[in-house]
Amino acid sequence: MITVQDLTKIFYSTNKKSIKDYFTSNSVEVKAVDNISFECNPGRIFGLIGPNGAGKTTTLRMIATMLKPSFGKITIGNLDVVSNPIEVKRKIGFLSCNTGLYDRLTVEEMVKYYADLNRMNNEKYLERKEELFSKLDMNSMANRRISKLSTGMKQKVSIARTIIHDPDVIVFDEPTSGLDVMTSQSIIKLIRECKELGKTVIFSSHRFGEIKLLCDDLAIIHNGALYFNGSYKKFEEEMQADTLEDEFVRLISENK
Amino acid sequence: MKIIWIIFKKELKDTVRDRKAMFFMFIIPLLMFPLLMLGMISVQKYVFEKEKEKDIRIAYIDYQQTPDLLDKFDREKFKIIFDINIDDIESMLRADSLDIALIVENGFTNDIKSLSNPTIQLLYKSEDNFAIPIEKTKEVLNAYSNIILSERLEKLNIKKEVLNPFTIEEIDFASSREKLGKTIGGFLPYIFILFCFGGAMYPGIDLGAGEKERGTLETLLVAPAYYHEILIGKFGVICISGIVSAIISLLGLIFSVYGMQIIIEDIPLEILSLASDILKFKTMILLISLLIPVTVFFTSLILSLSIYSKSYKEAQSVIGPLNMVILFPLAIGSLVPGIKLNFITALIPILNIALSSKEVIAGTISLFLLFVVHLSSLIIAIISILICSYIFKREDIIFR
Repeated sequence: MITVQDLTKIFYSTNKKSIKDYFTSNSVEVKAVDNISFECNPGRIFGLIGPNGAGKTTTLRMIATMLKPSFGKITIGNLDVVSNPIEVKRKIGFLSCNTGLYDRLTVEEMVKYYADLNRMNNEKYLERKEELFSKLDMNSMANRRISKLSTGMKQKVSIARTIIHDPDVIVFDEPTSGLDVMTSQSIIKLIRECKELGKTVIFSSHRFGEIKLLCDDLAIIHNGALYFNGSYKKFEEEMQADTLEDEFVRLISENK
Repeated sequence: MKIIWIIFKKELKDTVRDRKAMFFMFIIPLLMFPLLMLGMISVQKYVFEKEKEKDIRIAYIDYQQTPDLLDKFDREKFKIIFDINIDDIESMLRADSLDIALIVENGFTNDIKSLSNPTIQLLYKSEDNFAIPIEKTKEVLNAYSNIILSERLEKLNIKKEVLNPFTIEEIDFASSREKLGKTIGGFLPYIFILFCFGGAMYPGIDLGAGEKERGTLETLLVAPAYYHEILIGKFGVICISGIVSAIISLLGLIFSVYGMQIIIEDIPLEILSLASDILKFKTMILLISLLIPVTVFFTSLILSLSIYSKSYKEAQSVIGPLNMVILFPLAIGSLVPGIKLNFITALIPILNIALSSKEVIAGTISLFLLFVVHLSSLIIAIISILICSYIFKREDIIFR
């Protein structure tokens, strides 16, 4: 379970336009995330929705321990992400639209690298690898260099890398952005399977079709603040516009 | 420790498979000097031989005054041109249609007879041609001068020894290794320090800015590894790349000295013995021990800037010009005469390595100064690691 409590993230932006600015410390405070709270429960899919620059990625990066919260608290299970980052990382799988793969490694080397980083023993790794490679139809490309793979194949490798250690929590940061329909489908399938396996799933997306299809719970974020937090069912019930897209635009416009 | 080893192994594998990095790490350092030296020497030798075989075209003005000097010029080597207008000489020398003009002063023979000191003017254009025409002409003139001198001494009944009141006998205690080491040793740091930087540069850019650009750094930061473990893993590979590149460049240079024997039969034995001296275990260990802290310093510098950069291209444009910054203390240490290793210079980064490696190659390094160089380099290396580590932990830099 992910618990986010009064989470705030402040960045200090230094807008250096002239040489003079490099000698002054006129940094501007930017609240990327502003006092948000929500919960993601096991066996449910939590969707984080918002326009570009809303604070989705920053929130997910804080959950994944890449960024430290300025204020507030995030716990995964009973572990605080700031005081127990390594234990938290062992419980997390992180997938974004950017495959984040090493072109010069082979598929197997890539997956093994992340298994090793997660301190999986060889026996467990081989078992898990066989399971995943069969499920994702990756056996034929196991010894191929990643640079030689198509985008779809790369996304499969990225999925295998993300879940090789069988994490309890999976974070998807706009996982289908820029991908073709076939590849997007495989991601959607994976998200569903994670839910069925009782994993805690949080994902951010721009695609309303996916949100409707997948989300059990929903949070709408804009300018770092939450404008809705509840079940998807509740969101549909409270909708004042005809479609999900229109309701989203209405909420954002009203709160500008 | 296990995680560091896992990251190190992976980064090493990734770097070894990077053709561009391998090219700059192995191929260029290994082949550049042998090819450069062999190429230069072959061309130089060819041009020298050609120049030696060529006739020396000499304009002899007022030759009638010195018939005996005229006879001293070997007509097979010298092509003597007699009927040249004195006003045309300059333009002919500039146009390379003449090598030398020799103008004998009026009344030369009478002046010689009266024990005076007449003048012979040599006009030439000194540039390339290995100065062969002027050297050969001077040889003839000196021989002629010696004959006249002997005749004069005989006439005056003076012994030749009168001209040399005493003999200077020089005894130099510097070994040929010391003398050559100080000369050639000044050039060596240039090579291995620059190649050390070059060898570390490409892996450094790739493992920092390259990973950032490809999004692999983000996924690595989510993996259960501490920041310092990731940093050490990457750091190790970049360091090794720099050291390997430096050693390969040094070996490439030494082997090219041996390779020169194929072209030049008469390489001085001192140079060959110096090359084998550098290859000795003790010298190599000392050079590598000097190289390690400076490589750590370079690695920290490269990795810090690489991590700070948003993209591979930005990192290249920031780190590339650093070559020039490194070149400056290297040039002072390697090329400026009179700059020696002392307590002050032993504290100046890069310059201290250039000067101390010169002393190591010459075999004259003082243990105390070697210790000071190591200590100051170590302190700088530690400070640079701390700065690099601080930058790597800054989330506003990582996600810039």
